[in-house]
Amino acid sequence: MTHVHPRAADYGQSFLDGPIDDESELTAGVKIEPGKSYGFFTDTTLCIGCKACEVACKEWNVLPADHAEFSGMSYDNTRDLSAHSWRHVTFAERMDPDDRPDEMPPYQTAWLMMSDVCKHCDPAPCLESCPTGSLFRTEFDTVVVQQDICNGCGYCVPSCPFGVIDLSTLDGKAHKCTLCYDRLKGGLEPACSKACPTDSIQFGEITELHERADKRVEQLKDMGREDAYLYGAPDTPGATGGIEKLNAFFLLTDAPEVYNLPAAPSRSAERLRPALATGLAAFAGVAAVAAVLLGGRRKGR
Amino acid sequence: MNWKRTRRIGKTEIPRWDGETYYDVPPVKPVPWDWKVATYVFLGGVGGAAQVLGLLADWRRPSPRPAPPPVTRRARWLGVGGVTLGAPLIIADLKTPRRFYNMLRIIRPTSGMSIGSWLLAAFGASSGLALLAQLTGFRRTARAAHLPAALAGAGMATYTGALFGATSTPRWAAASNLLAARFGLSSMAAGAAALSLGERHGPTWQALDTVSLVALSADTALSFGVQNERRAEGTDAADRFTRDAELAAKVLHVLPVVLYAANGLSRRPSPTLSTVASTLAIAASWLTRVNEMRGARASARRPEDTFRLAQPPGSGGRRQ
Repeated sequence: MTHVHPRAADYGQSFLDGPIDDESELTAGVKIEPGKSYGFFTDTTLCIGCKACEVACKEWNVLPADHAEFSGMSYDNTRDLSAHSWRHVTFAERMDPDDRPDEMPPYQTAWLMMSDVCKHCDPAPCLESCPTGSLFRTEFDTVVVQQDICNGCGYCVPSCPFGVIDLSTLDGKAHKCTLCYDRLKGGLEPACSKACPTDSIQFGEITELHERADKRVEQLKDMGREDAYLYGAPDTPGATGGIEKLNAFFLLTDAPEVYNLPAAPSRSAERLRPALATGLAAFAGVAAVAAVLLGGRRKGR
Repeated sequence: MNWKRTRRIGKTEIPRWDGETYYDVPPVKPVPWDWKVATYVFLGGVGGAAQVLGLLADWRRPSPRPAPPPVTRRARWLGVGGVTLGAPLIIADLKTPRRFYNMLRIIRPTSGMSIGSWLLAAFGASSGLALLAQLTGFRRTARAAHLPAALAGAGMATYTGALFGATSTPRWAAASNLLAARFGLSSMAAGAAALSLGERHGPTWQALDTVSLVALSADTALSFGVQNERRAEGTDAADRFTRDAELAAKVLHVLPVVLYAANGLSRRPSPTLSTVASTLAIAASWLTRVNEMRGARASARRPEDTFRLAQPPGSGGRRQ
């Protein structure tokens, strides 16, 4: 995996004159161009729970602290994704204190860690529910809230099947991961994936990431980890119920619920039309009764 | 790999969910709305249904048409009243209320809220015009404006249920179709009851009472259907307060049904009995919406509800 990009030699000095053009080419091996789809592949078997992604995200996006007390949930004091926490590392302890194993398969076994993030769904339920057009799909196939348009109606919050987007009590707007829209525009890879020391979070073009992830599953299976599977790639758990793919997808080794992910989420907007039709039909039924009772009997009163 | 039981999603085999949650942290977030939105839903429903009934009462009359009957005139007042009281409530519930006009920035057919914003705007404008024309004596304009008001009114009475159903809130998503039907019927019951309250003309209030009776009975029947769907999906859990509130709503549904029916069967229907029944019917409609809002927030806070609803069909894991 470790190969140095030939362009790296152009930037040997300690102090740079300015930003590096297409820096992502050097750090993630991918050039960022509008019109292509980008996302994250989060390989949980490589996560060491260092939370560098959480810190890098908070720093780059200048996000305020959520709560500064201990949760009692293993090493997880962030608890969940929120308006001010756009990366969140989950810590699921799988150790049975009464039955300690003396042998373990490769990679995370007794402590499952996963860096959770907005899935940038395709199609995205939050975007489909947004009445102001504040939520939109960018030229990089990511989903972003326009802060100068959002009026804090909050409909995106229950629409999200993953509990990602939330309203901030500080400014009354909806917030979530932007997949570092500003950085992508400047040719930089997102802050979290750049900071990840183990490449558990990988940024890249979606189709390329899918190939890489499939290979990784095969590699893990060859190593004896037959429980490895993808969550959010097309036709896998997470990409269900009208959601075709998650542009931020994961490699997991236990049930999705263990990572606080729904096994088969659905696209909430698909329920709108049938419900509206059923509601109007019921209403029309009683209206027909009313038409007979009210319209028929009176004569030019 | 030592998975005892598995479920299949797509081509992927994954372990069965054994009921475990992530430290009881909810995987979805609850709706950030309160009684203000529930009351708007109620007011919009009453106003919308009233405008439909008002139009029907003025319908099929020979031209040149005489003055509209009092029930039609009052329906226009109710339509405007619903918007005048309801719109400020939902705007107040926005977390950035001064940007309320952004609701009419785009048209998004996949968003219940976008559809609803345009319905509210159309309903408010046409109801306002109809009432203004009525008060200034322009009968024809009032009639012309009443038609779009009634069409938008039918939408006002039902869209909110569909909007709730099209979320990831387990309690709503589990019974989205019947929920929208219940909201439509509940609006009709309360709209007819509200019109009946001020009606002096015997045959008219008796007809309105019958409409309210039909809508309330259908609503009560559907409430059991909604309950069954929720039970099937495992999203019917309720705390004690919710259970008590739902029981109260059921009583509030059944009481006016009995009173309306008694009045309808009696040889000399009592206006007092009608007033009591109509008041109860209106209260039932409001409580139904408030209960849905409270129950939905509670269900989103129960991780099990979300996980049960999001089980692949046929995995046998829906009811754990």
